[in-house]
Amino acid sequence: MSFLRKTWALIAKDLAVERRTRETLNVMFVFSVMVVVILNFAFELRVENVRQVAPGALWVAFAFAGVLGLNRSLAREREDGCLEGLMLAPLDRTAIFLAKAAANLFFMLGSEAIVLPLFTVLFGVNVLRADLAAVILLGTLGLAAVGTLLAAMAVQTRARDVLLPILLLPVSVPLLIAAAKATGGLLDGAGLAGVAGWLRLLGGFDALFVALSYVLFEYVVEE
Amino acid sequence: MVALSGVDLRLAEGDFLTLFGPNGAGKTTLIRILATLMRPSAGRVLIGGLDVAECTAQVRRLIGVVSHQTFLYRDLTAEENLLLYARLYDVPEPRERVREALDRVALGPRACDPVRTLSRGMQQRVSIARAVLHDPAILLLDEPYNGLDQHAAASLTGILQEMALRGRTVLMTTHDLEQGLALSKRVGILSGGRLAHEGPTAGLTAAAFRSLYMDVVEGRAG
Amino acid sequence: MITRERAGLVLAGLSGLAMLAAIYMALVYAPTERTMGALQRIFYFHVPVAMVAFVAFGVAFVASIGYLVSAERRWDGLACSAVEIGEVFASLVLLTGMLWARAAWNTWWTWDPRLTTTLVLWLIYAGYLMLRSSVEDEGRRARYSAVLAIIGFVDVPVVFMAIRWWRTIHPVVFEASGVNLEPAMLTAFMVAMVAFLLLLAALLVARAGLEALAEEVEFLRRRVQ
Repeated sequence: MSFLRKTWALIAKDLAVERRTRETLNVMFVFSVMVVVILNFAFELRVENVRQVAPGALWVAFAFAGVLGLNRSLAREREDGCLEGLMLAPLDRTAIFLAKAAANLFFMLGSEAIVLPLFTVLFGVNVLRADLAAVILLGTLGLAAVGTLLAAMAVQTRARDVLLPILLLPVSVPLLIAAAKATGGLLDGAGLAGVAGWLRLLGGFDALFVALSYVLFEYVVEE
Repeated sequence: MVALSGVDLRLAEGDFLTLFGPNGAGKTTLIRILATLMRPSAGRVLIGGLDVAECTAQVRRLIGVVSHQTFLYRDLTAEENLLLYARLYDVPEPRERVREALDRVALGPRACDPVRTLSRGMQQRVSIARAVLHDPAILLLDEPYNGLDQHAAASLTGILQEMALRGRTVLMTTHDLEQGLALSKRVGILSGGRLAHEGPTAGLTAAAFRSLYMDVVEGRAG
Repeated sequence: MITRERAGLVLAGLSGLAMLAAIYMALVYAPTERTMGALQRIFYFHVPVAMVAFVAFGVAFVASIGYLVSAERRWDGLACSAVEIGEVFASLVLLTGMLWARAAWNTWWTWDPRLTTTLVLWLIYAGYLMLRSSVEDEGRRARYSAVLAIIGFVDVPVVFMAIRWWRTIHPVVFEASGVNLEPAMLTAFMVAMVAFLLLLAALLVARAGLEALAEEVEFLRRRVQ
């Protein structure tokens, strides 16, 4: 199908740019490490059991690094009118959204994967586990979808980079709560069955907001 | 904010119209509407007999757009950029066509260099190649000569002449009086969002046109 | 003929009267509650304002859909008016909530799910206002705002569910409200509800009217230039 081929061509384009510059991944990785280290210091001094704050710290790092990545990704489309160039083509706007969101998801997951081992070492908590991977995937998916929609708006405003966290984070509150709770539950040994409620909330949020973002994206890019 | 008002424009197949106008006259807005990037708040746009609002995808295949923005990803090579567009426009035999297009703008040897490393003039040439890659029937150009060196300008003129010879329809906007008159069959003047003048270039000297233009722009006529 | 000005004046007058009635009902007519005493009376303002804030954001949601579908500016005017007023009301909810918590349980904040949801809502719509002030082009501003208002409102039930679930796992010591209402109290509450709804309507008409006027001024200014 032409739609899928074109969507894939767009994803490949983002991957190619990233491969050449490694800009986004680098920035996201360094920033995540910084957040993790700082949180470690901040909590170590006051909290006896650092393990208890690990889930929250992890998702704070993911959320803020994600915002960075999303900003970079959408800002790139603004340079030289690239997004407009894509809009000139006989291409469904939804393909542009899917491709962007998929690429952003890929980069966010990539940077998260690199951070996990470091997190394990610094927080003394093993986060390299398959069940946790499921939670991370679901959580990042929602962030990538809504984040792509909101970032597409934010980069076109005067406030630029600054606006995206202000728009994205409050909207993502349910996702962040569910992700952090599920992560905590799994680390405490509850197993996937034990955190099923939070997983359902995550899944529900994802389904709802992927669909909504898919529909609304066209209104953001079309004049 | 009203950028254009009461613009009634008709272009026959094979026409070459250059629109002149001062900054803020609405030239870019007009091109954007024709390029399907913007929806007009009133009125209809028919391209190739198709209503732009209804048959948008088909219309997009018919048009190629050149702007002062290159629409190119700086970190990708010229070839990679063109391949992407070839795929988006369903161009058959993409690799060969891309090679051909780059040769036509004399950038074959630089095909595998990131666009970032090319000069502004070369970048614009790649952008022109991008615009004609899918062999559009209509070419829309928004102040394409802006910031071009002689080599690039010559290349652009060459392509435009070729397009005219092949019977393609061209609409170009510019505020450079010389460039436009040389190539086009018809000229128009856009001022304050209105089409103040429109007619053939035949028999129109540069001086006469200049004074007509000044009249319109300073509000004495049109 | 019902002009906007006339409707606005009527609504303003009615809401003024209703507000006086509500104040009387809340402070005088309603019986004093057993456990919390006179302090409980803040309930007659806190809860109606919360519900009306929600209504305001709902109006913004519908107006935003209206704008995306029709591209008519008056829908955008209505949406942004509704969000502004809703944001003011949400601020009042948070303030009265904090006052109540402080007086009743000596703490400035309880993680009560409704109050916390209001806080998140406040943040979401603060983002809306910041987005609007950051976009110059009117068409784009209207479209972006509409998209955000839709996202925000759809998010409300999800936010509430998440916070409520989260709260049951870390139970807060104090229950926020679960007041059994006697008939007299119910009447007072209803009057307050009506008063605030009328206030919302009056403010909406006034604010949306202002927006329309501003647009006209801008249009004329451009014509003259």
